[in-house]
Amino acid sequence: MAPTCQTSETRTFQFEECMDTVACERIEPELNSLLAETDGPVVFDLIGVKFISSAFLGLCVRAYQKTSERGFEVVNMAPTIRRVFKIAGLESMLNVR
Amino acid sequence: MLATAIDIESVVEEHFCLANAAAAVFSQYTQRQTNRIVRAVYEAAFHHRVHLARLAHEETGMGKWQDKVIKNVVASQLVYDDIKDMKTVGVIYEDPISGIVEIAQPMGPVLAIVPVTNPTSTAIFKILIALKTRNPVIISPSRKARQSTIEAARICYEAALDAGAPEHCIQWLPEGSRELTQAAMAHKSLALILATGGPGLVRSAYSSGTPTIGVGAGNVPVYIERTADVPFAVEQIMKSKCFDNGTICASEQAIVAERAIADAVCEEFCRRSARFLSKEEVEQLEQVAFDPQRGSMHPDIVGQPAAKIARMAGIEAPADTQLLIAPLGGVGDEWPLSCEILAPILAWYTADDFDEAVNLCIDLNFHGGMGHTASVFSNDDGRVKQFASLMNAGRIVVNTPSSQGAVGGLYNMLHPSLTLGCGTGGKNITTDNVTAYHLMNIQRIARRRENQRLMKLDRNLFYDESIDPASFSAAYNMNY
Repeated sequence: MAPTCQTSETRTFQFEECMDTVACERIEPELNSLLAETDGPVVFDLIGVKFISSAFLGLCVRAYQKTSERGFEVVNMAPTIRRVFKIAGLESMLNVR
Repeated sequence: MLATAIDIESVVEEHFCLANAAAAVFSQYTQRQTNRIVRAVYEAAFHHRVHLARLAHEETGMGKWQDKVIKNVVASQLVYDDIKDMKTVGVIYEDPISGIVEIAQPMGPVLAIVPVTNPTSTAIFKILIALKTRNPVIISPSRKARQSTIEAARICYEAALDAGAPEHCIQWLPEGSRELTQAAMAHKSLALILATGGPGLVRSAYSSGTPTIGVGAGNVPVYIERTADVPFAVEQIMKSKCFDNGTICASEQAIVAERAIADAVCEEFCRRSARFLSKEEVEQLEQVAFDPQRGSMHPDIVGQPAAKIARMAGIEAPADTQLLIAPLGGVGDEWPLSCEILAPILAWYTADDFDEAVNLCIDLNFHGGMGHTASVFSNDDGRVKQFASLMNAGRIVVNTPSSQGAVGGLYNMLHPSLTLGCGTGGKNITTDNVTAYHLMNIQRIARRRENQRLMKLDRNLFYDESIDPASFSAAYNMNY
């Protein structure tokens, strides 16, 4: 997981180019700690991400479940990745923009 | 067992939720990644071909395990050889002259309904063609072949995962229940049903509202024409009809022999341990082989050995009897053995000449076997073509064992397949041997290529009601 930036209200996370199962397993503990420390809305910024696995979809869903009350969205993705969220039927739930 | 409608709904919902995620992830895969997965699955299926065949035989009590091994080889090795070089990802065809570019897209979750007669081979086949086209697949096993079907799917899934396939790209329904299958067939996320099974199941799939590639029932007539090589023809028919005790829907159901060679055919069958039945024995056999309630073959005799069926019918037959042959006086409901029977039983007719023989074959073909397969043994190419043009059959196999011939890859260049389309005669959309090609949505980029004839045509001709088609055509083709 790339360095994140935090404004006073929103915490943004950026990810690696290939978010396969191995990458997801590696980052999830740290991601969970950071999510736990965050009070405000959470944004997953997928700029530069070229491949996402089922594990990343699962990771998004779990992050959404933890943060949905304060706001969660997934942004800045390439069309190939947007289509993945669309086919999975997760676009609306995860606030994919 | 799933007790309630809520259980069924939640099980189906969970499967499709996971299948959608798998479909989404799969959509990113390249041809190379996809091919790697397909190869791994083929290798695993091939490696376990004997284990799976034995399991299917033990569980269903149908057929012969040795022949089920061959079916598993067809479903793995032959299907893999056929599809391995097929382009199924991205641009699959490009013609700079016409300006047409074809792009393959996956369809989405596929529900693969697997019959009791060919459980492991059909599961392997459907998994391979689904993965080759990047579609997740949900296997719906038959109630009587649940364990072996799921074992085949599990082996394929583990191999697929090891090769980098998306999680849940292969799933299976936990039990073979009609309610569960029907709920899955009607799910809004389902892209396609691959329905292999009896007419009731296929009808139900079509009624679900989901696009379906179904199959029809077979009732394969075999015409032994006067120029046929009789010993060869009989040997081939025996090899086919006794294969897995007749469980393949393309297996021969009735012999129509021209009278000029009928005696020789009879003698050859008897020499090869076939048993011709008397009129009384035919009636006895009807009692056990045909279920009047269902209006079709009795499930208890499906895939059973001939000697066992003879015993069930109270017919005396040597223990090495391979085939029971029932001479019948006609075709239709009043002749129960003239319908499809997936067991080593054949109906027998003789005909004076070509016309009478073909008329009988047409009657058989239209008596529950439209669109499926017809078989002819002949060395007269003209007769073969005449015969073929009069049959309503997706496959007309020539001088070939029909069971093995129709599935393709063994005796001809048809695509190897465990799902044989029967065209509109069998209420299907295709007469093809279904393969990976049928599981892609093909998009076409159409580059601008003006129709010059139309562009230079006087537009007033479009609106001139006095112009006749010939004059319009002449103007359209002027100087072309």
